[in-house]
Amino acid sequence: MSKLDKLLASESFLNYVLQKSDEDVAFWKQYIQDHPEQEDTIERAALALLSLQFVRPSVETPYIETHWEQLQSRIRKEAFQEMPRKPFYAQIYFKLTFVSLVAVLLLVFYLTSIQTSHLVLSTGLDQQLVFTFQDDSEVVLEENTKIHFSETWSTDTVRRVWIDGKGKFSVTKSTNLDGTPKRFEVYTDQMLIEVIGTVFSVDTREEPSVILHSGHVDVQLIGSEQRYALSPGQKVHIDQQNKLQISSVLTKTPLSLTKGQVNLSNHSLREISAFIEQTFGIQVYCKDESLLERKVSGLMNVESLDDLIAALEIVFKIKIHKTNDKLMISTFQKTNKLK
Amino acid sequence: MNAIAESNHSVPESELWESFKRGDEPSFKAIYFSYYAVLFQYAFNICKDEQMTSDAVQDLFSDLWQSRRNLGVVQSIKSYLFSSIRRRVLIKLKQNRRKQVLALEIFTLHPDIEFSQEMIQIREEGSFFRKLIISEALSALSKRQREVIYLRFYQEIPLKDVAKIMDINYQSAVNLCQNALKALRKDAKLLRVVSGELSN
Repeated sequence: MSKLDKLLASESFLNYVLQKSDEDVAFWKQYIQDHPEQEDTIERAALALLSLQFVRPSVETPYIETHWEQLQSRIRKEAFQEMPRKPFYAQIYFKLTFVSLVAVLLLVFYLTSIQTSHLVLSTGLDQQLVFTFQDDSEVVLEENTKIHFSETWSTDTVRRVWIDGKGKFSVTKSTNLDGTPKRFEVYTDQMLIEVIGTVFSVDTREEPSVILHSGHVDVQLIGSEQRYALSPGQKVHIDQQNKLQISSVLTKTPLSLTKGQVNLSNHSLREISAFIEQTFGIQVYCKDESLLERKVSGLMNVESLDDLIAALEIVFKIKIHKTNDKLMISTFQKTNKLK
Repeated sequence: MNAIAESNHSVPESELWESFKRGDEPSFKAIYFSYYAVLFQYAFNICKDEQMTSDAVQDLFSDLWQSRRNLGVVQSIKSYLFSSIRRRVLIKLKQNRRKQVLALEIFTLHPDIEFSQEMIQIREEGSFFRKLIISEALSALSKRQREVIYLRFYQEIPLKDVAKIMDINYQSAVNLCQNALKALRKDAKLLRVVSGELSN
Protein backbone atom coordinates (compact mmCIF):
# COMPACT_ATOMS: atom_id res chain seq x y z
CA MET A 1 0.00 0.00 0.00
CA SER A 2 1.54 3.27 -1.07
CA LYS A 3 1.82 6.31 1.11
CA LEU A 4 -0.64 8.10 -1.15
CA ASP A 5 -3.20 5.29 -0.76
CA LYS A 6 -2.98 5.74 3.01
CA LEU A 7 -3.35 9.48 2.73
CA LEU A 8 -6.33 9.11 0.42
CA ALA A 9 -8.11 6.97 3.00
CA SER A 10 -7.36 9.35 5.85
CA GLU A 11 -9.72 11.57 7.81
CA SER A 12 -7.78 14.53 6.50
CA PHE A 13 -8.61 13.69 2.89
CA LEU A 14 -12.25 13.13 3.74
CA ASN A 15 -12.32 16.53 5.45
CA TYR A 16 -10.78 18.07 2.35
CA VAL A 17 -13.27 16.47 -0.02
CA LEU A 18 -16.24 17.38 2.13
CA GLN A 19 -14.72 20.81 2.92
CA LYS A 20 -15.07 20.12 6.61
CA SER A 21 -11.76 21.54 7.82
CA ASP A 22 -9.93 24.63 6.57
CA GLU A 23 -6.68 23.17 7.81
CA ASP A 24 -7.10 19.97 5.80
CA VAL A 25 -8.26 21.88 2.73
CA ALA A 26 -5.12 24.03 2.92
CA PHE A 27 -2.95 20.94 3.41
CA TRP A 28 -4.33 19.17 0.34
CA LYS A 29 -4.17 22.21 -1.87
CA GLN A 30 -0.54 22.53 -0.94
CA TYR A 31 -0.03 18.78 -1.44
CA ILE A 32 -1.46 18.94 -4.97
CA GLN A 33 0.77 21.91 -5.77
CA ASP A 34 3.77 19.99 -4.51
CA HIS A 35 2.79 16.74 -6.28
CA PRO A 36 1.15 17.70 -9.58
CA GLU A 37 1.78 14.22 -10.98
CA GLN A 38 -0.66 12.80 -8.37
CA GLU A 39 -3.45 15.25 -9.11
CA ASP A 40 -5.36 12.82 -11.32
CA THR A 41 -5.29 10.08 -8.67
CA ILE A 42 -6.36 12.54 -6.01
CA GLU A 43 -9.25 13.72 -8.16
CA ARG A 44 -10.39 10.14 -8.73
CA ALA A 45 -10.11 9.43 -5.03
CA ALA A 46 -12.21 12.52 -4.29
CA LEU A 47 -14.89 11.37 -6.73
CA ALA A 48 -14.88 7.89 -5.18
CA LEU A 49 -15.42 9.43 -1.75
CA LEU A 50 -18.20 11.62 -3.08
CA SER A 51 -19.99 8.52 -4.30
CA LEU A 52 -20.29 7.48 -0.67
CA GLN A 53 -23.06 9.92 0.16
CA PHE A 54 -25.98 8.12 1.68
CA VAL A 55 -29.54 8.67 2.77
CA ARG A 56 -29.88 7.91 6.46
CA PRO A 57 -32.47 5.36 7.52
CA SER A 58 -35.74 6.89 8.53
CA VAL A 59 -38.05 4.95 10.77
CA GLU A 60 -41.33 6.51 11.82
CA THR A 61 -41.48 7.52 15.47
CA PRO A 62 -44.81 5.70 16.03
CA TYR A 63 -43.11 2.51 14.85
CA ILE A 64 -40.34 2.96 17.40
CA GLU A 65 -42.90 3.98 20.05
CA THR A 66 -44.74 0.72 19.50
CA HIS A 67 -41.58 -1.29 19.89
CA TRP A 68 -40.59 0.75 22.92
CA GLU A 69 -43.90 -0.11 24.54
CA GLN A 70 -43.41 -3.78 23.75
CA LEU A 71 -39.92 -3.64 25.20
CA GLN A 72 -41.16 -1.96 28.37
CA SER A 73 -43.87 -4.54 28.75
CA ARG A 74 -41.36 -7.32 28.30
CA ILE A 75 -38.90 -5.83 30.77
CA ARG A 76 -41.59 -5.31 33.40
CA LYS A 77 -42.87 -8.85 33.00
CA GLU A 78 -39.40 -10.29 33.31
CA ALA A 79 -38.68 -8.12 36.31
CA PHE A 80 -41.94 -9.08 37.92
CA GLN A 81 -41.32 -12.77 37.41
CA GLU A 82 -38.07 -12.35 39.26
CA MET A 83 -39.83 -10.76 42.24
CA PRO A 84 -40.53 -12.98 45.24
CA ARG A 85 -43.95 -14.59 45.03
CA LYS A 86 -44.95 -14.28 48.64
CA PRO A 87 -43.72 -12.11 51.50
CA PHE A 88 -41.02 -13.73 53.50
CA TYR A 89 -42.50 -13.02 56.90
CA ALA A 90 -44.15 -16.40 57.45
CA GLN A 91 -41.10 -18.34 56.44
CA ILE A 92 -38.54 -16.46 58.48
CA TYR A 93 -39.59 -17.94 61.81
CA PHE A 94 -39.24 -21.51 60.69
CA LYS A 95 -36.09 -21.48 58.66
CA LEU A 96 -32.58 -22.06 59.79
CA THR A 97 -30.64 -19.00 60.83
CA PHE A 98 -28.62 -18.64 57.67
CA VAL A 99 -31.74 -18.97 55.52
CA SER A 100 -33.36 -16.27 57.62
CA LEU A 101 -30.42 -14.00 57.11
CA VAL A 102 -30.55 -14.48 53.37
CA ALA A 103 -34.28 -13.80 53.38
CA VAL A 104 -33.84 -10.65 55.45
CA LEU A 105 -31.14 -9.40 53.12
CA LEU A 106 -33.33 -10.11 50.11
CA LEU A 107 -36.24 -8.35 51.76
CA VAL A 108 -34.13 -5.30 52.50
CA PHE A 109 -32.88 -5.28 48.92
CA TYR A 110 -36.44 -5.72 47.63
CA LEU A 111 -37.82 -2.91 49.73
CA THR A 112 -34.89 -0.63 48.99
CA SER A 113 -35.18 -1.18 45.27
CA ILE A 114 -38.88 -0.42 45.40
CA GLN A 115 -38.40 2.70 47.44
CA THR A 116 -35.72 4.09 45.17
CA SER A 117 -37.62 3.76 41.94
CA HIS A 118 -41.22 3.19 42.95
CA LEU A 119 -43.86 4.99 44.92
CA VAL A 120 -45.58 2.81 47.50
CA LEU A 121 -49.04 3.24 49.00
CA SER A 122 -50.34 0.98 51.71
CA THR A 123 -53.26 0.67 54.07
CA GLY A 124 -53.27 -0.79 57.56
CA LEU A 125 -55.94 -2.83 59.27
CA ASP A 126 -59.34 -1.13 59.23
CA GLN A 127 -58.13 1.41 56.72
CA GLN A 128 -59.38 2.20 53.27
CA LEU A 129 -57.72 4.56 50.86
CA VAL A 130 -58.92 6.14 47.64
CA PHE A 131 -56.05 7.20 45.44
CA THR A 132 -56.40 9.16 42.21
CA PHE A 133 -53.62 8.83 39.66
CA GLN A 134 -52.44 11.72 37.49
CA ASP A 135 -54.60 10.51 34.60
CA ASP A 136 -57.69 10.52 36.88
CA SER A 137 -57.72 6.75 37.13
CA GLU A 138 -58.65 5.74 40.63
CA VAL A 139 -58.00 2.87 42.96
CA VAL A 140 -59.81 2.08 46.18
CA LEU A 141 -57.45 0.16 48.43
CA GLU A 142 -59.07 -2.11 50.97
CA GLU A 143 -57.50 -2.80 54.36
CA ASN A 144 -53.96 -4.17 54.58
CA THR A 145 -53.23 -3.62 50.90
CA LYS A 146 -50.17 -2.27 49.18
CA ILE A 147 -49.67 -0.90 45.68
CA HIS A 148 -46.55 0.45 44.07
CA PHE A 149 -45.80 2.07 40.78
CA SER A 150 -42.96 3.80 39.01
CA GLU A 151 -42.01 7.36 39.86
CA THR A 152 -42.18 8.09 36.15
CA TRP A 153 -45.66 6.54 35.95
CA SER A 154 -47.36 9.47 34.26
CA THR A 155 -44.80 9.61 31.44
CA ASP A 156 -44.35 5.87 30.99
CA THR A 157 -45.84 4.51 27.80
CA VAL A 158 -47.68 1.83 29.75
CA ARG A 159 -49.33 2.60 33.10
CA ARG A 160 -48.28 -0.16 35.48
CA VAL A 161 -49.34 -0.80 39.04
CA TRP A 162 -48.38 -3.68 41.30
CA ILE A 163 -50.85 -4.71 43.99
CA ASP A 164 -50.70 -6.97 46.99
CA GLY A 165 -54.07 -7.13 48.72
CA LYS A 166 -57.47 -6.03 47.54
CA GLY A 167 -58.35 -3.04 45.44
CA LYS A 168 -60.89 -1.72 42.99
CA PHE A 169 -59.58 0.12 39.96
CA SER A 170 -61.48 2.62 37.86
CA VAL A 171 -59.26 3.20 34.87
CA THR A 172 -59.68 6.17 32.57
CA LYS A 173 -58.76 5.91 28.93
CA SER A 174 -55.56 7.61 27.96
CA THR A 175 -53.47 7.86 24.83
CA ASN A 176 -49.80 8.04 24.04
CA LEU A 177 -48.24 10.88 22.08
CA ASP A 178 -48.89 9.08 18.82
CA GLY A 179 -52.59 8.70 19.65
CA THR A 180 -52.45 4.97 20.40
CA PRO A 181 -54.33 3.78 23.50
CA LYS A 182 -52.16 3.80 26.59
CA ARG A 183 -52.44 0.46 28.33
CA PHE A 184 -52.97 0.10 32.05
CA GLU A 185 -51.46 -3.03 33.54
CA VAL A 186 -52.03 -4.32 37.03
CA TYR A 187 -49.69 -6.97 38.36
CA THR A 188 -50.25 -9.29 41.25
CA ASP A 189 -47.69 -11.89 42.21
CA GLN A 190 -49.54 -14.36 40.01
CA MET A 191 -51.55 -12.42 37.48
CA LEU A 192 -51.21 -9.74 34.89
CA ILE A 193 -54.34 -7.72 34.13
CA GLU A 194 -54.25 -5.65 30.96
CA VAL A 195 -56.72 -2.83 30.64
CA ILE A 196 -57.52 0.19 28.51
CA GLY A 197 -60.39 1.84 30.35
CA THR A 198 -62.62 -0.03 32.77
CA VAL A 199 -63.65 -0.81 36.33
CA PHE A 200 -62.49 -3.99 38.01
CA SER A 201 -61.57 -5.41 41.40
CA VAL A 202 -58.46 -7.36 42.29
CA ASP A 203 -57.94 -9.59 45.29
CA THR A 204 -54.61 -11.33 45.86
CA ARG A 205 -55.48 -13.04 49.14
CA GLU A 206 -56.85 -16.54 49.85
CA GLU A 207 -58.40 -16.98 46.42
CA PRO A 208 -56.64 -14.56 44.08
CA SER A 209 -59.25 -13.18 41.72
CA VAL A 210 -60.26 -10.43 39.35
CA ILE A 211 -63.84 -9.23 38.93
CA LEU A 212 -64.71 -7.08 35.95
CA HIS A 213 -67.46 -4.53 36.57
CA SER A 214 -67.43 -2.76 33.25
CA GLY A 215 -65.29 -2.47 30.12
CA HIS A 216 -62.81 -5.11 29.15
CA VAL A 217 -59.71 -6.66 30.69
CA ASP A 218 -57.34 -9.46 29.72
CA VAL A 219 -56.10 -11.57 32.60
CA GLN A 220 -52.99 -13.67 32.23
CA LEU A 221 -51.39 -16.07 34.65
CA ILE A 222 -47.79 -14.95 34.96
CA GLY A 223 -45.39 -17.53 33.63
CA SER A 224 -48.04 -19.23 31.53
CA GLU A 225 -49.69 -18.68 28.21
CA GLN A 226 -53.15 -18.99 29.77
CA ARG A 227 -55.10 -15.82 29.22
CA TYR A 228 -58.72 -14.82 29.62
CA ALA A 229 -60.61 -11.90 28.16
CA LEU A 230 -63.21 -11.04 30.78
CA SER A 231 -66.64 -9.65 30.05
CA PRO A 232 -68.40 -7.32 32.48
CA GLY A 233 -69.78 -9.23 35.42
CA GLN A 234 -67.31 -12.08 35.10
CA LYS A 235 -64.85 -13.19 37.71
CA VAL A 236 -61.67 -15.15 37.19
CA HIS A 237 -59.75 -16.80 40.00
CA ILE A 238 -56.72 -19.03 40.40
CA ASP A 239 -57.65 -22.55 41.43
CA GLN A 240 -55.65 -25.02 43.49
CA GLN A 241 -53.96 -26.39 40.39
CA ASN A 242 -52.70 -22.87 39.80
CA LYS A 243 -54.89 -22.35 36.76
CA LEU A 244 -57.20 -19.53 35.87
CA GLN A 245 -60.87 -20.37 36.19
CA ILE A 246 -63.90 -18.30 35.39
CA SER A 247 -65.60 -19.39 38.55
CA SER A 248 -68.78 -17.37 38.54
CA VAL A 249 -70.72 -14.80 36.63
CA LEU A 250 -72.05 -12.05 38.80
CA THR A 251 -75.73 -11.56 38.37
CA LYS A 252 -75.66 -7.99 39.52
CA THR A 253 -74.17 -5.41 37.21
CA PRO A 254 -72.59 -2.35 38.77
CA LEU A 255 -74.63 0.80 38.92
CA SER A 256 -74.03 3.43 36.32
CA LEU A 257 -75.79 6.52 35.03
CA THR A 258 -76.05 5.92 31.31
CA LYS A 259 -78.09 8.02 28.91
CA GLY A 260 -80.13 9.44 31.78
CA GLN A 261 -80.99 6.05 33.22
CA VAL A 262 -79.95 4.03 36.24
CA ASN A 263 -80.65 0.34 35.94
CA LEU A 264 -81.28 -1.13 39.37
CA SER A 265 -81.16 -4.88 39.80
CA ASN A 266 -81.84 -5.85 43.40
CA HIS A 267 -79.48 -3.11 44.55
CA SER A 268 -79.51 -2.03 48.18
CA LEU A 269 -79.78 1.54 49.35
CA ARG A 270 -76.23 1.09 50.65
CA GLU A 271 -75.00 0.31 47.13
CA ILE A 272 -76.99 3.18 45.69
CA SER A 273 -75.51 5.52 48.31
CA ALA A 274 -72.02 4.43 47.36
CA PHE A 275 -72.89 4.99 43.72
CA ILE A 276 -74.11 8.52 44.51
CA GLU A 277 -70.91 9.28 46.40
CA GLN A 278 -68.77 8.09 43.51
CA THR A 279 -70.83 9.66 40.76
CA PHE A 280 -71.76 13.01 42.27
CA GLY A 281 -68.91 13.47 44.75
CA ILE A 282 -71.23 14.03 47.66
CA GLN A 283 -71.19 12.26 51.03
CA VAL A 284 -74.23 10.22 51.98
CA TYR A 285 -75.14 9.65 55.62
CA CYS A 286 -77.69 7.28 57.08
CA LYS A 287 -77.80 6.20 60.71
CA ASP A 288 -80.40 3.52 60.15
CA GLU A 289 -78.51 0.41 59.02
CA SER A 290 -81.69 -1.53 58.31
CA LEU A 291 -82.73 1.18 55.89
CA LEU A 292 -79.53 0.76 53.97
CA GLU A 293 -80.24 -2.92 53.41
CA ARG A 294 -83.51 -2.28 51.59
CA LYS A 295 -83.35 -3.32 47.97
CA VAL A 296 -84.99 -2.28 44.74
CA SER A 297 -85.07 -3.26 41.09
CA GLY A 298 -86.13 -1.30 38.02
CA LEU A 299 -85.16 1.39 35.59
CA MET A 300 -85.02 4.97 36.85
CA ASN A 301 -85.02 7.88 34.47
CA VAL A 302 -82.85 10.51 36.10
CA GLU A 303 -81.22 13.55 34.58
CA SER A 304 -79.68 14.87 37.77
CA LEU A 305 -78.97 14.12 41.39
CA ASP A 306 -82.22 15.89 42.34
CA ASP A 307 -84.14 13.52 40.05
CA LEU A 308 -82.47 10.55 41.67
CA ILE A 309 -83.20 11.86 45.18
CA ALA A 310 -86.84 12.38 44.31
CA ALA A 311 -87.12 8.88 42.83
CA LEU A 312 -85.41 7.26 45.81
CA GLU A 313 -87.65 9.11 48.27
CA ILE A 314 -90.70 7.68 46.53
CA VAL A 315 -89.39 4.15 46.01
CA PHE A 316 -87.89 3.65 49.47
CA LYS A 317 -90.40 5.89 51.27
CA ILE A 318 -87.56 7.84 52.80
CA LYS A 319 -86.63 11.45 53.32
CA ILE A 320 -83.38 12.68 51.82
CA HIS A 321 -82.15 16.04 53.02
CA LYS A 322 -79.63 17.63 50.69
CA THR A 323 -77.04 20.24 51.65
CA ASN A 324 -74.08 21.51 49.63
CA ASP A 325 -71.80 18.59 50.33
CA LYS A 326 -73.88 15.81 51.83
CA LEU A 327 -77.12 13.89 51.78
CA MET A 328 -78.87 12.83 54.99
CA ILE A 329 -81.16 9.83 54.61
CA SER A 330 -83.89 9.28 57.15
CA THR A 331 -87.18 7.50 57.23
CA PHE A 332 -90.69 8.92 56.98
CA GLN A 333 -91.96 6.48 59.58
CA LYS A 334 -90.98 8.76 62.45
CA THR A 335 -93.35 11.40 61.25
CA ASN A 336 -96.06 8.78 60.74
CA LYS A 337 -95.57 7.46 64.24
CA LEU A 338 -96.03 10.93 65.65
CA LYS A 339 -99.35 11.01 63.95
CA MET B 1 -37.46 11.90 17.23
CA ASN B 2 -39.07 11.47 20.57
CA ALA B 3 -39.19 14.43 22.92
CA ILE B 4 -37.29 12.65 25.66
CA ALA B 5 -34.59 11.54 23.28
CA GLU B 6 -34.26 15.07 21.99
CA SER B 7 -34.03 16.51 25.43
CA ASN B 8 -31.19 14.13 26.19
CA HIS B 9 -29.24 15.02 23.07
CA SER B 10 -27.53 17.80 24.94
CA VAL B 11 -26.35 15.33 27.58
CA PRO B 12 -22.86 13.96 26.85
CA GLU B 13 -22.92 10.29 25.90
CA SER B 14 -20.86 9.28 28.90
CA GLU B 15 -23.36 10.93 31.27
CA LEU B 16 -26.29 9.42 29.43
CA TRP B 17 -24.70 5.99 29.72
CA GLU B 18 -23.89 6.36 33.41
CA SER B 19 -27.36 7.64 34.10
CA PHE B 20 -28.86 4.66 32.24
CA LYS B 21 -26.65 2.29 34.25
CA ARG B 22 -28.08 3.77 37.42
CA GLY B 23 -31.53 2.74 36.18
CA ASP B 24 -32.74 6.07 34.83
CA GLU B 25 -35.57 5.11 32.46
CA PRO B 26 -35.62 8.39 30.46
CA SER B 27 -31.92 7.88 29.66
CA PHE B 28 -32.61 4.33 28.55
CA LYS B 29 -35.46 5.61 26.43
CA ALA B 30 -33.23 8.29 24.91
CA ILE B 31 -30.69 5.64 23.94
CA TYR B 32 -33.41 3.44 22.51
CA PHE B 33 -34.93 6.19 20.41
CA SER B 34 -31.56 7.49 19.27
CA TYR B 35 -30.25 4.18 18.03
CA TYR B 36 -33.23 2.01 17.22
CA ALA B 37 -33.43 3.02 13.57
CA VAL B 38 -29.73 2.67 12.76
CA LEU B 39 -29.41 -0.60 14.64
CA PHE B 40 -32.45 -1.96 12.87
CA GLN B 41 -30.99 -0.90 9.54
CA TYR B 42 -27.63 -2.50 10.26
CA ALA B 43 -29.09 -5.72 11.63
CA PHE B 44 -31.51 -6.00 8.73
CA ASN B 45 -28.69 -5.42 6.29
CA ILE B 46 -26.84 -8.36 7.83
CA CYS B 47 -29.66 -10.89 8.02
CA LYS B 48 -32.27 -9.57 5.53
CA ASP B 49 -34.98 -10.86 7.86
CA GLU B 50 -37.32 -8.33 9.43
CA GLN B 51 -38.55 -10.58 12.23
CA MET B 52 -35.05 -11.68 13.16
CA THR B 53 -33.93 -8.07 13.09
CA SER B 54 -36.76 -6.90 15.29
CA ASP B 55 -36.16 -9.73 17.78
CA ALA B 56 -32.44 -9.09 17.88
CA VAL B 57 -32.84 -5.37 18.55
CA GLN B 58 -35.42 -5.98 21.30
CA ASP B 59 -33.28 -8.74 22.84
CA LEU B 60 -30.32 -6.40 22.81
CA PHE B 61 -32.13 -3.61 24.65
CA SER B 62 -33.87 -5.99 27.04
CA ASP B 63 -30.55 -7.59 28.01
CA LEU B 64 -28.96 -4.17 28.19
CA TRP B 65 -31.51 -3.05 30.76
CA GLN B 66 -31.33 -6.27 32.78
CA SER B 67 -27.54 -6.18 32.97
CA ARG B 68 -27.13 -2.42 33.20
CA ARG B 69 -25.51 -2.54 36.64
CA ASN B 70 -22.76 -4.79 35.35
CA LEU B 71 -21.92 -2.78 32.26
CA GLY B 72 -18.63 -1.00 32.01
CA VAL B 73 -17.63 2.39 30.70
CA VAL B 74 -18.15 2.80 26.97
CA GLN B 75 -16.39 5.32 24.76
CA SER B 76 -19.16 5.31 22.19
CA ILE B 77 -22.66 4.01 22.81
CA LYS B 78 -23.25 3.62 19.11
CA SER B 79 -20.17 1.46 18.59
CA TYR B 80 -21.02 -0.63 21.62
CA LEU B 81 -24.54 -1.25 20.37
CA PHE B 82 -23.40 -1.97 16.83
CA SER B 83 -20.84 -4.46 18.05
CA SER B 84 -23.47 -6.18 20.16
CA ILE B 85 -26.16 -6.30 17.49
CA ARG B 86 -23.70 -7.64 14.93
CA ARG B 87 -22.70 -10.48 17.23
CA ARG B 88 -26.29 -11.31 18.04
CA VAL B 89 -27.48 -11.37 14.46
CA LEU B 90 -24.54 -13.51 13.34
CA ILE B 91 -25.24 -15.99 16.13
CA LYS B 92 -28.91 -16.14 15.13
CA LEU B 93 -27.92 -16.67 11.51
CA LYS B 94 -25.60 -19.51 12.47
CA GLN B 95 -28.30 -21.10 14.61
CA ASN B 96 -30.73 -20.88 11.72
CA ARG B 97 -28.27 -22.46 9.36
CA ARG B 98 -27.71 -25.31 11.77
CA LYS B 99 -31.43 -25.84 11.89
CA GLN B 100 -31.44 -26.16 8.16
CA VAL B 101 -29.07 -29.11 8.54
CA LEU B 102 -26.34 -27.64 6.40
CA ALA B 103 -23.97 -29.69 8.42
CA LEU B 104 -21.16 -29.70 5.92
CA GLU B 105 -21.08 -25.97 5.55
CA ILE B 106 -18.20 -24.23 7.24
CA PHE B 107 -19.50 -21.37 9.28
CA THR B 108 -17.32 -18.49 8.36
CA LEU B 109 -20.11 -15.99 8.25
CA HIS B 110 -19.46 -12.41 7.33
CA PRO B 111 -22.23 -9.88 7.00
CA ASP B 112 -23.21 -9.45 3.41
CA ILE B 113 -24.07 -5.76 3.41
CA GLU B 114 -26.06 -4.51 0.46
CA PHE B 115 -26.23 -0.89 -0.57
CA SER B 116 -29.73 -0.54 -1.94
CA GLN B 117 -30.52 2.29 -4.29
CA GLU B 118 -32.71 3.86 -1.61
CA MET B 119 -29.63 4.30 0.54
CA ILE B 120 -27.63 6.08 -2.12
CA GLN B 121 -27.85 9.82 -2.19
CA ILE B 122 -27.45 11.68 -5.45
CA ARG B 123 -28.20 15.25 -6.32
CA GLU B 124 -30.61 14.51 -9.12
CA GLU B 125 -33.63 12.89 -7.51
CA GLY B 126 -35.01 9.80 -9.16
CA SER B 127 -32.01 9.06 -11.31
CA PHE B 128 -32.38 5.30 -11.28
CA PHE B 129 -29.46 4.74 -13.64
CA ARG B 130 -26.97 6.71 -11.56
CA LYS B 131 -27.96 5.05 -8.35
CA LEU B 132 -27.66 1.68 -10.04
CA ILE B 133 -24.08 2.42 -11.13
CA ILE B 134 -23.06 3.40 -7.60
CA SER B 135 -24.88 0.43 -6.12
CA GLU B 136 -23.13 -1.92 -8.54
CA ALA B 137 -19.72 -0.41 -7.80
CA LEU B 138 -20.24 -1.00 -4.08
CA SER B 139 -21.53 -4.52 -4.68
CA ALA B 140 -18.29 -5.35 -6.48
CA LEU B 141 -16.34 -4.86 -3.25
CA SER B 142 -15.63 -7.80 -0.99
CA LYS B 143 -18.03 -8.49 1.91
CA ARG B 144 -15.61 -7.16 4.47
CA GLN B 145 -14.80 -4.08 2.41
CA ARG B 146 -18.51 -3.39 2.02
CA GLU B 147 -19.01 -3.66 5.74
CA VAL B 148 -16.14 -1.28 6.46
CA ILE B 149 -17.49 1.20 3.95
CA TYR B 150 -20.99 0.81 5.33
CA LEU B 151 -19.93 1.41 8.92
CA ARG B 152 -17.42 4.15 8.14
CA PHE B 153 -19.38 6.16 5.58
CA TYR B 154 -23.00 5.17 5.94
CA GLN B 155 -23.07 4.97 9.72
CA GLU B 156 -20.24 7.51 10.14
CA ILE B 157 -18.41 5.46 12.72
CA PRO B 158 -14.66 6.15 13.16
CA LEU B 159 -12.37 3.41 11.83
CA LYS B 160 -11.02 2.52 15.28
CA ASP B 161 -14.57 1.73 16.36
CA VAL B 162 -15.32 -0.01 13.06
CA ALA B 163 -12.42 -2.35 13.89
CA LYS B 164 -13.94 -3.13 17.29
CA ILE B 165 -17.39 -3.73 15.83
CA MET B 166 -16.02 -6.09 13.17
CA ASP B 167 -13.75 -7.72 15.73
CA ILE B 168 -10.62 -7.11 13.67
CA ASN B 169 -7.52 -5.12 14.49
CA TYR B 170 -7.30 -1.46 13.57
CA GLN B 171 -4.74 -1.94 10.82
CA SER B 172 -6.96 -4.53 9.13
CA ALA B 173 -9.82 -2.04 9.14
CA VAL B 174 -7.57 0.62 7.67
CA ASN B 175 -6.37 -1.76 4.96
CA LEU B 176 -9.89 -2.84 4.09
CA CYS B 177 -10.96 0.78 3.83
CA GLN B 178 -7.97 1.78 1.71
CA ASN B 179 -8.43 -1.15 -0.65
CA ALA B 180 -12.12 -0.44 -0.99
CA LEU B 181 -11.51 3.22 -1.84
CA LYS B 182 -8.75 2.22 -4.25
CA ALA B 183 -11.13 -0.15 -6.02
CA LEU B 184 -13.81 2.52 -6.22
CA ARG B 185 -11.51 5.10 -7.73
CA LYS B 186 -10.62 2.63 -10.45
CA ASP B 187 -14.25 2.23 -11.43
CA ALA B 188 -14.56 4.49 -14.46
CA LYS B 189 -18.35 4.25 -14.67
CA LEU B 190 -18.69 5.27 -11.06
CA LEU B 191 -16.36 8.24 -11.43
CA ARG B 192 -18.19 9.37 -14.56
CA VAL B 193 -21.52 9.29 -12.72
CA VAL B 194 -20.18 11.23 -9.76
CA SER B 195 -18.36 13.81 -11.89
CA GLY B 196 -21.56 14.17 -13.95
CA GLU B 197 -23.43 14.82 -10.73
CA LEU B 198 -20.95 17.49 -9.79
CA SER B 199 -21.11 19.22 -13.15
CA ASN B 200 -24.94 19.31 -13.10
